[in-house]
Amino acid sequence: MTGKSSYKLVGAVLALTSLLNIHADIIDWSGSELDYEIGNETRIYAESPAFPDQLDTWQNSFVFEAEWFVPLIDGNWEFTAKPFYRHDFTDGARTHFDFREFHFRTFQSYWELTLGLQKIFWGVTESQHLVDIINQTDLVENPDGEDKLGQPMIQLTLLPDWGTIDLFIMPYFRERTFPGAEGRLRANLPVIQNGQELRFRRTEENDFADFAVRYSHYIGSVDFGISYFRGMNREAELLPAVLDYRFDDPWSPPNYTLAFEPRYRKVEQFGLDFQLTQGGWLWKLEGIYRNYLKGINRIDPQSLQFFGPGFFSSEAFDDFGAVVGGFEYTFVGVFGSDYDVGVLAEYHYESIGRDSLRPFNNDLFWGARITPNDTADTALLIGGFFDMYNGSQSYRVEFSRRLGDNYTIIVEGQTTANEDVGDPLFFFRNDSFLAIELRRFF
Amino acid sequence: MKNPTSAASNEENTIVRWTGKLLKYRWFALSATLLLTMIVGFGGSRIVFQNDYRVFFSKDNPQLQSYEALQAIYTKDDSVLIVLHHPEEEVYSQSFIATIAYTTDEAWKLPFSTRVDSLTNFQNTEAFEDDLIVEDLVPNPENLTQADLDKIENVARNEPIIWNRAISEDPNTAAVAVTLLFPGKDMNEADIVAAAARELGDRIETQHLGMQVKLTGTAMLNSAFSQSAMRDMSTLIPLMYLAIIIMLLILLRSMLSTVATVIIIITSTMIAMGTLGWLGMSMNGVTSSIPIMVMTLAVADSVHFLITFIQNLRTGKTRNEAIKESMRINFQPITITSLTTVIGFLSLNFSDSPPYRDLGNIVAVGVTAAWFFSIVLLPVLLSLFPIKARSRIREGEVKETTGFAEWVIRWKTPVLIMTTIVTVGLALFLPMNKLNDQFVQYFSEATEFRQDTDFITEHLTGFYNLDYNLSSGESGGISNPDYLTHLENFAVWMRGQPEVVQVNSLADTMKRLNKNMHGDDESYFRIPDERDLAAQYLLLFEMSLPYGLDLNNQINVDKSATRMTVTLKDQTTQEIRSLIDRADAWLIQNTPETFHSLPSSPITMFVYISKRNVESMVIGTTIAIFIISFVLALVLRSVRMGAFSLIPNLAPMAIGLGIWALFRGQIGMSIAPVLGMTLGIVVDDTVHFLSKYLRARREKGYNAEDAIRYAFATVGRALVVTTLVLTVGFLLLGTSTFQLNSWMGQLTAIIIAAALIFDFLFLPAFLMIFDKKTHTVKTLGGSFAKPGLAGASAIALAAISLLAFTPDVQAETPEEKGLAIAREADLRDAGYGDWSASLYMVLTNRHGQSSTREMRFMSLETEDEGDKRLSVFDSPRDVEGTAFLSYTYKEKDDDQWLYLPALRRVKRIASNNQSGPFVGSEFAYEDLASQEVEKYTYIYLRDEVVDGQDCYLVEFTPVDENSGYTKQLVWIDKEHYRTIKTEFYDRKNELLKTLTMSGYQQYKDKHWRADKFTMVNHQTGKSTELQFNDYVFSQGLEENLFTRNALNRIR
Repeated sequence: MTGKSSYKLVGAVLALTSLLNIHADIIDWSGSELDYEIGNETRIYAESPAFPDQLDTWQNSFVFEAEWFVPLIDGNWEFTAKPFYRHDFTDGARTHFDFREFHFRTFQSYWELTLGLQKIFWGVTESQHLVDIINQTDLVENPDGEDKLGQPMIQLTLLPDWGTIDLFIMPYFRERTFPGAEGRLRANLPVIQNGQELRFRRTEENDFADFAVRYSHYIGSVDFGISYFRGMNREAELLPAVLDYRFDDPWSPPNYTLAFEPRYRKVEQFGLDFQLTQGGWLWKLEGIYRNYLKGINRIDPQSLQFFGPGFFSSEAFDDFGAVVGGFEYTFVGVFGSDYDVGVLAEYHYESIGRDSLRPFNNDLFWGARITPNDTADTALLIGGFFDMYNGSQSYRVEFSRRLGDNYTIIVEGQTTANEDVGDPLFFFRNDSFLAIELRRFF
Repeated sequence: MKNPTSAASNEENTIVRWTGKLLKYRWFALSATLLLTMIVGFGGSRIVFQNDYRVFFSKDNPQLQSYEALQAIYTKDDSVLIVLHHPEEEVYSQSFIATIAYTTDEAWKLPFSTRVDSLTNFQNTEAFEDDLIVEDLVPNPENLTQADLDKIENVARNEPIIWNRAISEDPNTAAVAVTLLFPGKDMNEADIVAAAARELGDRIETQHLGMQVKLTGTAMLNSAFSQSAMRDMSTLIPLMYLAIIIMLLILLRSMLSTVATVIIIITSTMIAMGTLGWLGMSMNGVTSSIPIMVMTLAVADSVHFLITFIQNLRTGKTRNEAIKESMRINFQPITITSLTTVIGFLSLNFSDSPPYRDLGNIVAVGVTAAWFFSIVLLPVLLSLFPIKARSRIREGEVKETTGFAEWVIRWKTPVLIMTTIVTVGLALFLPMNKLNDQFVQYFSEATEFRQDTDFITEHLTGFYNLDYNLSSGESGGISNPDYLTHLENFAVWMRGQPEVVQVNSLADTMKRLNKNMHGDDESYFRIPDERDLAAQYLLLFEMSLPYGLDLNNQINVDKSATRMTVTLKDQTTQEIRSLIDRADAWLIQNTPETFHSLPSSPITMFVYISKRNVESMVIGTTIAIFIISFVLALVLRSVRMGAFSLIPNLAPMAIGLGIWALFRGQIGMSIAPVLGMTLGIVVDDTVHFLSKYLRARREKGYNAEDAIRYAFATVGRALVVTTLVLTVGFLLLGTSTFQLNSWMGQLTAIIIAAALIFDFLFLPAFLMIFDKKTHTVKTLGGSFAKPGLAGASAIALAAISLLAFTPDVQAETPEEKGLAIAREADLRDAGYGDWSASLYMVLTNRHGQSSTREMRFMSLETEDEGDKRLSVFDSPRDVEGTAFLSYTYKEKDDDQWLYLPALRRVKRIASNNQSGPFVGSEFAYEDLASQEVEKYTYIYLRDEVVDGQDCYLVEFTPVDENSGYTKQLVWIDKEHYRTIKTEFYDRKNELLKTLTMSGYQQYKDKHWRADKFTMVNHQTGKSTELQFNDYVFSQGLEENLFTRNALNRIR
């Protein structure tokens, strides 16, 4: 699923590596480390699919992940590669390979430089990561959106006494991954993926690179960051498109297939994240303002003809501001046991309001995190969203525990209730599932 | 912990002993100081007043040099301008003209008068057939016909040389210009002329009913300078004494203390003025403010001393005890504040203007004298005077500042935000201040000079002028028609400038002569075409001029250059500078090189002095800031505090100048020195407050809030009193009619008042919010590695504190002994800088099944607080790369961050988890945190032998209410102060766990570390064993390894 251009980059980096290889003393093989893990995931769906072509009942997949670390040039530099591969036996679109990390890095006293693919996380809240915009979401991997694709970048980090300044130059935009036609947890039409043919693709607005800058610091009990991003929006706007339109035989109706075309627009986004830690209390706030720098892209004229122009001019994708804020409180050692129980609640707001096509426009999240502090690092997280406009609800459970020294089991469950027709959750109304993943670490 | 200050207390003992001796030989001390004062003070009789405005300029000031050069070429012209104004009569009337003529004649009789120009003696030229007639415009003022008057008016209106100079559009006003040549033998020459001119004015006013006489000119200016200085000396100083006495009586409520203070003030001032006299410096407008400044600053020193003295008397001490105690407490602060004040005033030496340099140096002498008298003479006087405390201290009496302290403590965050907003808001107005030094405005509108000059500027002509020395480049070249054309063009250009009132140019005379020589033909009113003709006309004209009205003030000796005088409207010096620049550009563009010239005149000197002064004072003030911050860092024994003190020292200036911009908006020569000067004074507030605050934190171990309370309680009142005295003193100076002094006084008063408000609001709020670290001995251990003075003094202090500790272990009560043991253990391990180790953890459940973890552990010692610690997991594999960073604090919750490698996310986690198990082990977070002395209270129980080692058994009670324990019993071996065994008691006070530590090894000849920690949980049967390997000490781990950011890349 990786874009062709990022393959090129990886190729270049590999070439560079082999060049370095000539001078064997530059590379400290003895310091290199290789770790890998394999796993199997089974997702079981409680209901029959809502849309045609979607798989029924269950879905099995296999995952491989590794991390290879090599110190270079007397430890002044280091190289890290984290290949990732998932093979899904039912949904072809979910079979994908990615380098989560593939970079060279040096760190000095007051600055750091990273060249290559990596993942960057910004933010503090738990239920939505508003500010976090550097990496594209690997949505096909997990509908919770926590998995990210490696982003090619040059990252310069400056470390003055008064905080951390990160500067990013990110050539190569990566498109979001979506489940295929067979996959569950998708909208009513499949999304056109990389490689699939469409005559009028995205647009002239690709710049040389995306840029971002972030300043973060902590003062006493406050951690905060302010960020600015300018480049392609990571979020896809899905526009209906007509594929393979044929009208050969005048006596029969035309043949065509419908799909969503993902549209990415150039944006600038101002972000703020803030956390106040007071004893057991964590107070969190994230806010963004997103400014669309260019209008709606050119649209496939056939689609325009088919759906009519009104369909495409939604105000839902205007400039907007959004905030998410809330708290987490941890009860340590409840009832004299070793259990810690954290309760959290976060509120989501978006300036567009009811018409917004993004899921969290006026939603409340609550959750609880239970950790028994046992030797197996057991953790249980339960949570739910409530849409305060239309009452749609979704619930999620995550459980993880180590088995022995080398195995981990992760159980995830998700369900929805009272889905409103106008809510994005409506698409998932039949997609309640339970996923069980077992991983073996080497 | 009294150790860090034991040096200070040694010093204090010395002072107390010294004071004892002083009091013993008090009669000797008294007579010696008074004798010294007499000798130095005698110099005061040698003081001379200097009243030339040129004193503001140093000898090498380029504008002054240029002006003196110009005066050497032409005539030196100090002047008196006598302006006649009659509200009802017109100038062109018989009686008015007669008065002008009378004035012209009388003006010749003024002392040092060399030339008089007026309407009546204007040398009018006319053609009479082929001859040139040169005669007074009004030859017979007694008998004038209407035709004569019309002719006079006609000539005046068309003659650029007198229009707007001797006469103007205002029909009721005319002027007589008197040029003077001062022999320079007597300082009072200007005053003599001014007195004579005033006398003449009175005469005219009595003779001609309704006529008003206004006087201005440089002679009057000089005289005004000395008058202002005299007035300041004769009115402000007595007022100042009165104000000080009243304030002291109210604040000290003690007659004799007030008398003692006044004696200190008098002696200090005598020393300052005597030094001034002995050094041969002269008194002038600026230096006349010295006595007021010295008085004000001397009061500040005495007040601190007296307040402590009286407080001690009221607690029942004898006078001598009270004096000693006051000396002990105040010696250091008074010395430091005097030192910073002296530094501030010495920074005036960077001023370009000699009077300010003198002011700075003499006030510095005065402040030093005030310091000396406060610590020598004042104690002696107090011991001699039968001062009695009026009453014992009453409950609730000292509550005024404590109430305020509580208010600040309660509202610290809003206070901090509001003061920051107000300060920044006011600072934003700073650039609105414009440089201006119109020296007429140096005098308040209450002075006669200012009123007259303003009147003249409004009705007749300008006070400021520019003199251009325009050269033709050849002898006799001024007759060259090219040169005259350039001259005429320049004059025309100048007249076209909006700032210009009048231009006096030789070209006008030449044009008129040309016309006259052609039978008054108007078409010849132009520059003569031929050089010979022009030269002849000029010669003819000069030959006809009477004595005293020659052209030497306009033409140089070899006739190669002329002087052009440009009279200006009332302008700011910035506007004048802009005119000068434009004229320069015009000259360069339109005239040959020999013609180029920059103007010189009194105003050009002032135009440039303020800029030069501000620029040089910026350097001076910056240097003073650095020196003072350095002094503060040394005194407060904290580089951090020294650097931080910059905020309360600089912010009041920003506030003051911001307020200034709102109300005045002009800064000039007098404002530039204020910054350096006030810096030295406002620092005092900071010094007193911070030194008390730090004393509370270090000696008494208070937290920030209690230390704030302490600081308010001890110095709050004294600071209010001194600020009051200083503000009143400088406000009094602010009423001076001499604006240089009044502005300096006003701005200084604003800044000093702002400093107190700022120090009472911002400073405590800031400290409470940001100074959370505790200040203890450990500070010193941490800074061993740092080179330089701070490091050296830290080592010295650490050595002293080590010595001081030994007796502490023999302390008496169990609490004291317990604390002493804990401190000793802490101290013995201090100074490692950093250490790291790898850790192998075995967790065993009650069935004997075990699992393992591996991690690396790094710890960094910090200067003031607990350690920064970083642990990175290597196994089990699923948590590999997880990292945990914690900053331990002595008195508050730790800061903790967790790094989750899968999400590449750094999370700040709740800080109340001390009692929670660390990664499922039997160790709680608090068991593994760095052990700080402040985290527990201690009771020594008894000695016991554990594993053959003699141990102290000490009970530790956690201070933190989130701790999982009610107490810990800790066995510490007597020889090396190592923890051998610990029993943990849970919240029900039942034995929960036992930790045994074994395999101790010593690293770096100092630090003992156990290889093996075994924790057994008695209630669950589970146990955890920690095996530490590869201990490395002091490897120079960098601070930025222990940061949030570093978690991202830790391996």
